[in-house]
Amino acid sequence: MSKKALLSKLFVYILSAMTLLSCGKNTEEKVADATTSANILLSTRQCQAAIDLLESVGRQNKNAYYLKTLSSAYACRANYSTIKFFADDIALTSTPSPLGGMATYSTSQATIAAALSDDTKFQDLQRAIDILLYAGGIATTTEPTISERAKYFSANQAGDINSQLLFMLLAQTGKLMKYYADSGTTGVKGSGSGANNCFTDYTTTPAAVQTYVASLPGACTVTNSSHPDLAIGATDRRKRLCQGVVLMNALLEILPSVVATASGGDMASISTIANDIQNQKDLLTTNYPAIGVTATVMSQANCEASASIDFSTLTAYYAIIYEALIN
Amino acid sequence: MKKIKTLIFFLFVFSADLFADEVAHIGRSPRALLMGDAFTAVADDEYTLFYNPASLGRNKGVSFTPLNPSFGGTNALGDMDRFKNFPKSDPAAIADRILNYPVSIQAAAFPGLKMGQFGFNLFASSKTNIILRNAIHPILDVDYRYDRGFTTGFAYNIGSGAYSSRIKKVSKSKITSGKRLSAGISVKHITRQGIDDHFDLFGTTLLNKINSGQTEINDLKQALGYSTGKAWGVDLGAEYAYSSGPSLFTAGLSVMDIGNTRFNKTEGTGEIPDQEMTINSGVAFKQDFGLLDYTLSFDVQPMNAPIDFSRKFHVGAEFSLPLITAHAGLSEGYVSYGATVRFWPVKLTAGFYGVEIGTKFREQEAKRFIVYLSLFDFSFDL
Repeated sequence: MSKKALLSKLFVYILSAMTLLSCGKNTEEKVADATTSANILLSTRQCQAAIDLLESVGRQNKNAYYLKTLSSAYACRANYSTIKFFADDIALTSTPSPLGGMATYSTSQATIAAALSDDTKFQDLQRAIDILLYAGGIATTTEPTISERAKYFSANQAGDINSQLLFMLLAQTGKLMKYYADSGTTGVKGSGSGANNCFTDYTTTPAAVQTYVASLPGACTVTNSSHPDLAIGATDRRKRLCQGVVLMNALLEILPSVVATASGGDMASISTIANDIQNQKDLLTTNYPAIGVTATVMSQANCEASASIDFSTLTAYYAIIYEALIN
Repeated sequence: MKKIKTLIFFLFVFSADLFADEVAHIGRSPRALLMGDAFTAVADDEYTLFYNPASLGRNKGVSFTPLNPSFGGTNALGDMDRFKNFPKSDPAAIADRILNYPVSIQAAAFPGLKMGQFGFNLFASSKTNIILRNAIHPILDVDYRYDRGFTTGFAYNIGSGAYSSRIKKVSKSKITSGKRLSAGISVKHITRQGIDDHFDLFGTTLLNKINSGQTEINDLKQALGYSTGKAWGVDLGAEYAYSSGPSLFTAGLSVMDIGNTRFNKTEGTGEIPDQEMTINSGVAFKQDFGLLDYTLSFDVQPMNAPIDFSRKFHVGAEFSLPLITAHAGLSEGYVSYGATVRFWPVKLTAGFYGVEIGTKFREQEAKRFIVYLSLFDFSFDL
């Protein structure tokens, strides 16, 4: 065979190989493309388009970049933004102290048309939180702790997931506090347009807990001034009480680890709130030793189903932690 | 022949390409960038070895380009206010300024020598491309590459036509009539310092640096953890040229960084971005009427990349008069244009071009400029 013929044959073979073997994307490429395109869409707040694109490639539970972007997409639909949180809200956290400022976040001021747990923006932000809380494919009945997530991601990836989680947890907890404490725009409990001065009804909690509630500063001076959605007999009362418990427990677990690695600038506004929360938790376990697993539960499914958790422990939690943190 | 076929088959099947965002190359000719990067079948300047080693086959003489720095970056002509009083220690304010705005800084030099069908280039190239995306929880995409090394190549010719020779009285080349089929190979060694990753603006890695006011590029590089590595790479090419009278038709095919050029890490903890294999094809048509000549070129590249097919099309044109050449083109759907001015010992090329930094065709454009200066380059026939 002449050299010219040999080269021509090789040329044709290479062209054929390229045509046959260079088409189509594999799953990894599709996910990478979808994640990049979703981030481009989120740059202009095209929330639903980003959600649709990311869900179309299937949940990638071990892909930190994908999960953070998907979480951002649902948070976008909830009208949340970390940029806005840092620009406008984080500095408000402790004013009024200890944590009444969380009820004054911009995300806390959104009008809630129905019950908070049925509000679409609250549900979307909770979805965004759960995507990262259970990142790695953690089952909803497994406690989504920092160490559990660390099994599936590198230290840097897990650290970034925890940071993104922390800011959303603060925003979501602030919404919950604003709604159930009826704190109006001032962050002062009971100053809103509702009739309640407390989060929930404490008439069935142990006497020591009721005494503690009565000793607190602020509007909650009686034990039966409950928000209607958390009142005895309210629909989904246990589910709603659990939402507050798992949010606060997750917040307390993640906050110290994030603040330890980035504490300057705006982070200074939240660097000490872990102490405030932990102090109340210590009081809770001292005043109510039977609190048990309620003090640490972070799985909504476990909180709702566990026999060790009941209305007594749940209301005790609210009495000693939530009622003390917003006055 | 069977063994060669098998080898080629496995090269394509098992080279796992993960092109996302911008297609990255080691060296790009500034002239090519302004011609829509449709250069596989043109490749007749000092950047031949970065496009198609087979194009060395058209060379008859000696050409030497000793000093050729280039500088490029984001075309921010309409956006200078964005960078005035740039906030240093407020991540929310930084995000506000640069969200969804691609920032690029590039500087390079590719001195080279061609002697007949042999070519050699040294190179040093630094490229930093950054974009902050996602208005909800901003993520900084960083692609930083500092490459140093050399490449050397050779072309083997079949046929005695379509060679370039210098016209002695003017600084132009003349193409001899006839046909030529060339096959070329080049080998390169690269030392790369690089990062190619995503970083949360409000994540712990960056947040500390920003809060302490350290937002200079070098500080960020240190914080993000660049790595260094070395690699050898191989390129192959083929070129067919047919010249008759003032006309020259060329078709080219090149496979650059066969099997992906993978770096052995010598320093750092992060991953060094590999140089992914690209398979490039192109055709070009040139007519030279003495004082005026023009070139039209069309490329499909990189053919093997899992990107939208529309992104693979590149069209270019240039029109030359003595002392000045105008370039224009379309690359991935984005317009490029510029000009070259030649007055020995200076050759200056400058212009603007667009690059796709999304995943789909015309999803997100990075608008860039390039300025190239070549000093004391010369060539003569052997």
